[in-house]
Amino acid sequence: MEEILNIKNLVVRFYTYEGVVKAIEGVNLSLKKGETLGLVGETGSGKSVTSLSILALVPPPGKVEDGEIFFKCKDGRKLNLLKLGEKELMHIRGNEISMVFQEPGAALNPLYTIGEQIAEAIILHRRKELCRKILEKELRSVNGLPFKKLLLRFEKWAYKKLLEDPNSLSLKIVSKIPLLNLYSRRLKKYAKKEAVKILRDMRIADPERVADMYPHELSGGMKQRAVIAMALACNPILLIADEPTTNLDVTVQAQILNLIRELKKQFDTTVLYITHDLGVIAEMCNRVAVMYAGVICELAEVNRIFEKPLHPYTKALLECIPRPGKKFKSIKGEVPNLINPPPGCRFHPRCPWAMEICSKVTPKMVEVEKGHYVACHLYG
Amino acid sequence: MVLRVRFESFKKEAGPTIRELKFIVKRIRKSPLSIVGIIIILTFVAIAILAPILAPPPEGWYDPYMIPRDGFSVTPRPPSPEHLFGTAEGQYDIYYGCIWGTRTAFRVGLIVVGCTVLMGIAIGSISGYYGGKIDEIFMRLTDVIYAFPGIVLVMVLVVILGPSLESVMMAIILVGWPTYARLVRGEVLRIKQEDFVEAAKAMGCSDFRVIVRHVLPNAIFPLLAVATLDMGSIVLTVAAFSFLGLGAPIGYADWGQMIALSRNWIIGTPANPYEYWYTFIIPGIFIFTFVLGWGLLGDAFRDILDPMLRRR
Amino acid sequence: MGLTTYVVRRLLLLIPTMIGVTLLIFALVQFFSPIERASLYIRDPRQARSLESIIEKYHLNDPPHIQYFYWLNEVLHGNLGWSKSVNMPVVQAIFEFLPATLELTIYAIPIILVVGVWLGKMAAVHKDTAVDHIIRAFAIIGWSLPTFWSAIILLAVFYGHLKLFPPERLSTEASLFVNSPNFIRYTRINTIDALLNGQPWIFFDALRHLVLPVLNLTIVIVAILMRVVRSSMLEALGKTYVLAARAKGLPEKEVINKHAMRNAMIPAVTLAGALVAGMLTGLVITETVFNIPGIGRWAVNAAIQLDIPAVLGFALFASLVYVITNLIVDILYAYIDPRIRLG
Repeated sequence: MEEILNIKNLVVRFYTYEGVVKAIEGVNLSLKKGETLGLVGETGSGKSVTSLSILALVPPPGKVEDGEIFFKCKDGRKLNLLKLGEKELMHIRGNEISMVFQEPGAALNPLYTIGEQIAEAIILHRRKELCRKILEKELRSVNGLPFKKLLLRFEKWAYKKLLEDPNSLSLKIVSKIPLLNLYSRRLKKYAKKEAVKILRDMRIADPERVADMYPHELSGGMKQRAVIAMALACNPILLIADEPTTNLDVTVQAQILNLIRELKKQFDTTVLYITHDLGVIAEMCNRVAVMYAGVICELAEVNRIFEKPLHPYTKALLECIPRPGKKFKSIKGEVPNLINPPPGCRFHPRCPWAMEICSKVTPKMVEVEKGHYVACHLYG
Repeated sequence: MVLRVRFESFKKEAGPTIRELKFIVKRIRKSPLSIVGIIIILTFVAIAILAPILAPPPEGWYDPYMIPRDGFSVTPRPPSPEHLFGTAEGQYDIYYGCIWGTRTAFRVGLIVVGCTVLMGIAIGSISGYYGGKIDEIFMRLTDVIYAFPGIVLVMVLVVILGPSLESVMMAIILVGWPTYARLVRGEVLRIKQEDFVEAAKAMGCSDFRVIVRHVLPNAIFPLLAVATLDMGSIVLTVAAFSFLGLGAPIGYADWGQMIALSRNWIIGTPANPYEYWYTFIIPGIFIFTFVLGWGLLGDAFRDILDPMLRRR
Repeated sequence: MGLTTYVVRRLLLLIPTMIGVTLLIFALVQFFSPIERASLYIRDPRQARSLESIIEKYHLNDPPHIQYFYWLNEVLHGNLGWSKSVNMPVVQAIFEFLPATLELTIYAIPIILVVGVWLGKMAAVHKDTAVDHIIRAFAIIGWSLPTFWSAIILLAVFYGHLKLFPPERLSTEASLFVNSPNFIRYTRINTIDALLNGQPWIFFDALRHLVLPVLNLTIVIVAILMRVVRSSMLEALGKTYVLAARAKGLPEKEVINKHAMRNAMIPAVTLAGALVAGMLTGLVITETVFNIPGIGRWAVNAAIQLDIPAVLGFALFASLVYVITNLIVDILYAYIDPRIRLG
């Protein structure tokens, strides 16, 4: 299986009033096509920041200080996402790589209908396809009353222009003229049709009605489906799901997880699944990366992680899963302050097997067995 | 011994409030603009307190707030050793007027803001805490007051009461308390659902105690920013009314009134259009700086309180 | 529910609100004794002898609840009493002085709205940069500036010294022409009338006189508007749907204008409404300092001269303006925000 995403040595820092937060310190991760990689960690471990860095959306005062993120596009090119200009980034976002956020409704603008927001993404990235369809189906023959003929001729010209040179000056001028800019209504209609199609793929009953509804009229589960629809509208290679089911009811959660699994098969999407819930990891993922305080401690296939956890933190996490009959267990200590993180291994203050070297030297990731990597002095 | 126990328990109960206040003070100290605001305000406080020394009224003067006149001629005279800022139309000493005008400004601001805040807290907390019919009545009352453009209502009230500084102050108080009442009511509604209020009630605290000791200390934070900003804007409003002739009488030590005196002299003489600059520039600078000081501080409060309130 | 239903509902609510307003005004009127109130309707001291008949005519001695209906009847027929400060019926005074205020408002409001919103947007988008700090400095200065003081300074500099922009509405020769039979005053708004009469020089003359008052208003009010826009924009920009829009690949400009701005406008619209209403009810200070015969100046002069009918009539007019503006604001809200019209 080929690699589609390769994060090398990512360093992200936040320059706040209280000091410099070393949020991500040297993360290495790679994704193979078609797999689901889970990224596990507590709140504050840096999982969201990692995912935002992939899309170069780290909000200020954050800054990506170092590292490379190589990504293989649909057309085969290999790009370093951190070195791209805004234009190319805009092409990637929503089109090659999409993101689903935690709060179901938060990603939806309350003032626009679901259909409008999905159509927005479609118009942005699948414009050529839509123009071609319109030119073929509706604007093929230009006949009718003279006035209508003139209008249709104009629209044909407009869509041809859109197809070839969307940034042309003439189109820009036309969009500013009040009546003439109505030509884009056709485009919006087509985009909305596509949006309805995608909503149907989301296993939503009566997608036409839903497309005309506003976010506040929908339940949490429906909203999340709509958000997923928005993310998959342009058939991205990679879908980043940042805790998409955390704020939902358990039953709804199960539905959404099923949906994601089916969609993955249907669209052949690679998924980076971020969560703190080990149960979801067990269900959804092929491989798992465990993250703590801005570094990756362990990376392995999902079965191996549960059968043979190597890193002390992973072990502790698994122990914490409540089981009937077992006493409640927690990891002693607290998540470190990342302005002054512990030297060496960031977990050593809380590690039961900490050695002297752990507080001095940062452990590097080593492959302990095939496909199973750990960053811990106990193993290398 | 009893006193010390009382103090200890007070410190403990007020603990969270004091912590929040300390946080606010710390953040204020870090913001340069608010420091400037505080310095400005303190300067004015000093001027107001030292007014009898800085600008002593003449022997046996009937009312220190009425500006002494050096003659009766109409033309203003430029700054000189006897009249540091010059004299206005009618020979009122501008320096005296500005210094004692500071006292007027503080008097007006503190009384009006004080009354509106107190009324607002009283009505808002009762309305929010008890709800029901009392709440309905008070809220309809505020609605009616809100339905009117504020300035218009103030003007009508001033006319009914007869134009004077006191009636302007009273009118603004009557029109201004709803803002605070609504603010406090909103906070009280939010806080009364919190667990510690339930706990206090379960312990058997009287309603009054619950409101005063538990609910209010947490509810007043939004008021801080609004009240500070109001100190500035109310003085502005009163100055405007005095300027129009509906507030302080002619010759009163009020900045707005003094600028009213300058109206005939703003275009100066054909030779020198800025001949009488001191009649309006100097009192205006006093007003502007005073309001600016409170505005900077109020702004800083707002910037700090906003994320702090959202943290909850 | 739909927009139309919402509008109709709000329009219907207008009636009870106006009744409430008239009740309040009426209550204020009751502060005065019947004789005083009767004198509100006379136009001439000689009529003082017939006060008794006036009291009869307007039922000023009847119990308040009956009086209210007679008084309301008079109001609806356009009789608000006599304004002694300007020697004409109150209603006529309102129509006489409204155009001047309207003219100022027509020019000031678009400028204020456009500049205020734009500045607020710029300050929010470029937060904590030099642009933001300059704009905020301008805002706090504008807020602290007494309108009457800035008006005076503007007059001193641009009129007294530079002689560029005079106060009042028209120069002497222009006003002579405007009042002559050669000139038809359609709207009594000089700039519009000038164009309708085909006299461009009067148009420019009127415009010249408008520069300072409009500038004065703009400085102070833009400061207030810009602050609200800035803070609501900052709030909108921090929301997840803005991040999601960026993650979709939208160009930053569209993210700001299409997603953030629309949400940020909601609180700004309330303020804008309050500002418009405030302006229509008289730019008291501006009119006084620049000697413009508008509603505000009439009201203030009436207040000083204790011309009660004028003040009360003005209060009624102002409340009407306010209520209608609030209605428009509410309708705008419902148009922008689907959560409001769909409940």
